Amino acid sequence: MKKSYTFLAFMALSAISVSSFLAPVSSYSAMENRYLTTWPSISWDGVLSGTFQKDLEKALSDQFPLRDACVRLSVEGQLSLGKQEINGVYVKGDGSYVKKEINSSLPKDRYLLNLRILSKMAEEEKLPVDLFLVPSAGEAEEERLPSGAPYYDAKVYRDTAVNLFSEKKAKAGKVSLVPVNFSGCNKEHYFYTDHHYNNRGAYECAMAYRSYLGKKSRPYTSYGPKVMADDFRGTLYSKAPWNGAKYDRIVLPELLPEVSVAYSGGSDGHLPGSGAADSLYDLRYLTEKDKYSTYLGGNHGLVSVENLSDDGKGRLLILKDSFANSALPYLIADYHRVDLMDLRYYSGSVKEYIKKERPDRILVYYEMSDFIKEEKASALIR
Amino acid sequence: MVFSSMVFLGIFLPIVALVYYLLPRGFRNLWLFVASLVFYAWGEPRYVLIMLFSTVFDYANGRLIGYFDSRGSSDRWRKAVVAFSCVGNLGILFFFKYTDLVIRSIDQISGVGLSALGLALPIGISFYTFQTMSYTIDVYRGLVKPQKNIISFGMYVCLFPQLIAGPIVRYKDVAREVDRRWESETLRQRGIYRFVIGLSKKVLLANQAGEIYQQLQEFSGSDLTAPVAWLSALMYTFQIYFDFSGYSDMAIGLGMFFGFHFPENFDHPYESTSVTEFWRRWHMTLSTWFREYLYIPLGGNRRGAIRQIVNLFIVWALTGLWHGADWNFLLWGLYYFLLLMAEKLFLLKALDKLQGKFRAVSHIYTMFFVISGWVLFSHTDLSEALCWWKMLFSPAGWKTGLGRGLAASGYLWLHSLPFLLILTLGCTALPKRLWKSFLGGEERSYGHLKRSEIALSALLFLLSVIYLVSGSYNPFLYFRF
Repeated sequence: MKKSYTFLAFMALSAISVSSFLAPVSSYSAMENRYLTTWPSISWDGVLSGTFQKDLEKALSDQFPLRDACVRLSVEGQLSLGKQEINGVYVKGDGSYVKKEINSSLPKDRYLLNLRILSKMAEEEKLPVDLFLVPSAGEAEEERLPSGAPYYDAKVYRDTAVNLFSEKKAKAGKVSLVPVNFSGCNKEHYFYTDHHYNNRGAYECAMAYRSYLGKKSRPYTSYGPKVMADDFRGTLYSKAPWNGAKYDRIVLPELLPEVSVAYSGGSDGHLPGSGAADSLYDLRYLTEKDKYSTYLGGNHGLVSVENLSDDGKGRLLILKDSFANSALPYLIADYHRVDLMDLRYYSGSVKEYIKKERPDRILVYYEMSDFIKEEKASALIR
Repeated sequence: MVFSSMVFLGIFLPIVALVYYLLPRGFRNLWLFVASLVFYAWGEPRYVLIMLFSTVFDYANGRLIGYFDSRGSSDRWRKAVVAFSCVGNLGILFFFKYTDLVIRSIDQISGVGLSALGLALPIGISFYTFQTMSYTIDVYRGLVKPQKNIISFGMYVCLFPQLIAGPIVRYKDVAREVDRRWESETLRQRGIYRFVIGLSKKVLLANQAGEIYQQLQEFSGSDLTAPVAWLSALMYTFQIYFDFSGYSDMAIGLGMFFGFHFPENFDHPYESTSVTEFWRRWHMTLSTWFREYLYIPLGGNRRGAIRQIVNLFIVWALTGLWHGADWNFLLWGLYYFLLLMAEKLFLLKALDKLQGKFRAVSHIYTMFFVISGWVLFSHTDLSEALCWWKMLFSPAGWKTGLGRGLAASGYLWLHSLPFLLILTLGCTALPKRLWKSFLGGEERSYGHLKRSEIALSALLFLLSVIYLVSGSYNPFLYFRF
């Protein structure tokens, strides 16, 4: 061995590229929720501009056959050195995760701007606008954070909105912040391994909104919750995968009115660009990595849900992030129709849409830190 | 291309090494030259021309001086050539590195609305212009013979191991090996070993420290407290050392693999007990360069105290600016000028008395100034540099950090502690000493690797690849790009 050291080193180096070349090409990583770089084809322009070189470098690590194992090992290594923060998520020894959000990463001026835009929208459209900010995981369940871990001061942000709107209940032309409080109930509201709230969290939030509107709360079990999967490891797990991570359950409320669903824009996964369905769930996602997309089949620019039973009244427009997808089952029975619009994927004019469809009420439904960072709010008043 | 990349490790290096040793000796310089050009052009296809120009330019200057020498011409001609070479090299360096700084500064002062050229800095230009200059000057001084073979000279200038981050190899350091060198299996093994040590320093330590540093840099407003600022400064202190010295290790190791002996660049600088000593042990080839080609020609310490102070001022201002084209680097250089002056005038004597029992005091003194210096060095935005620097000493910053922000400071420090310990040990000579005694107390910088050394290098290589691959791991929460 002593004599062949150089030869062995040579083989070890070559093994990096040869194994990547020989392994079957993978183009998508469910773990990372992104498309991988595949082998670039060589061209004079590509070489001169440097894109070929960059793509080759990316492809070499993206196509490396032991890529997932490497990531796991490095996470284990970092955890064993006492690190509890990897790739922007807090990882606790019990196998649960919380997404890291600190004051410094949540721009106050952007937040104020977004709030003012809502005011302007309410004024212009002469509609009541409710702002529902889902509490962030680290705010709602502080014990889930590693002790002492920096986390943003949600109360300050909430107070800013309360002071700005200072209306108890939104009237036409006004915005108000819907109060929400998780503390009354002793259950977990967030997935251990995903950045979303779980079914329980969605239920609590939906009930908070309903009681704000003066509706009577319905018990959790009356919606017929059913465990559909118990091997879910979500987006936060993907950020720092390790073997000690917990598994989450996907629970779907089953006792729902009949609906017809039309969606368009922002498609990915199973559903094509636009189409129709007769359920709020796309069960095909239950067997995949991205199980939260079971709700409404992921995010779309626009989803219109019609309640086919006769009990629902009125039309609600929800401007939202993905958190609304799992709250919808608890809200749909109250309305005749609910439209959900995701500004990240909706390409049309929101103003035009409101003018044409005339909703009775607008609900702005975001996870709090998502709303603070939302960069597309100005589309609401253009 | 950088050493700590998959393309370099998995494709470039195996091919270059294999072909190098398959070729007869006569072609090896040519092959290294070609490989180095590919290495350089990988990231900067167009800028390779500047490097080639620099090569031809100083090759010609060297030959010209040689020609005048052989003719026995007067010194005037030789001086003219060496001056021409310096003006040319410094001109290139100035144009590509400092023009925009000058334009921006004039614009700020006068407000006439000049727009910067937006030139990208050619990689390694600060290193190779210094190397080619040293060649012409040494030819002029008669310390080396002019290189007649342009391929060999080109290979020296562009040689990929030390091309982009040093060490600065003077031509006279390797003049003999450029023409004739003996690659041996033991040297190759030692080279690979050294390379792997450097790679692991870069990937396992520097990159990880850098990641924590980046996270901390995001803190602002009420999140930013004195304990946070200190942790951030510490992480940068470690990052820059392991990054830079790791890179030097890799360069020196690669050099050995191809039969060269490059000068050492770092000698455990964070163990120093004075700032003067720190600069004797940090980036040694740069300090040597400035001493030999600037400080001593300016007169060094031979022309009286005032002149010496002026000379030191010039050297340190330029040392600062050499590190980057921004005013913070100049200030950082002058910061060291002041410290070194203070040490020369009185501090060193005082520190000397502290040796022995109170060695720790002088060590803490040194590191205190080195660490706070890096805060200045790491922020090109001066107002930001000042903000972070002031936070180190701000009573209010300490009050929040140990009051309302105590939980956060505790969390950040506590969870960094094991890694900090590794980093601290890693930059002392202790691991090397322990390893040596583990090997049986025998000094081995020659001969075939021992079995334990082979195992260590295999382990470090494996870990480095694991961290390198996972470093490109980048999961998205929402989007599928």
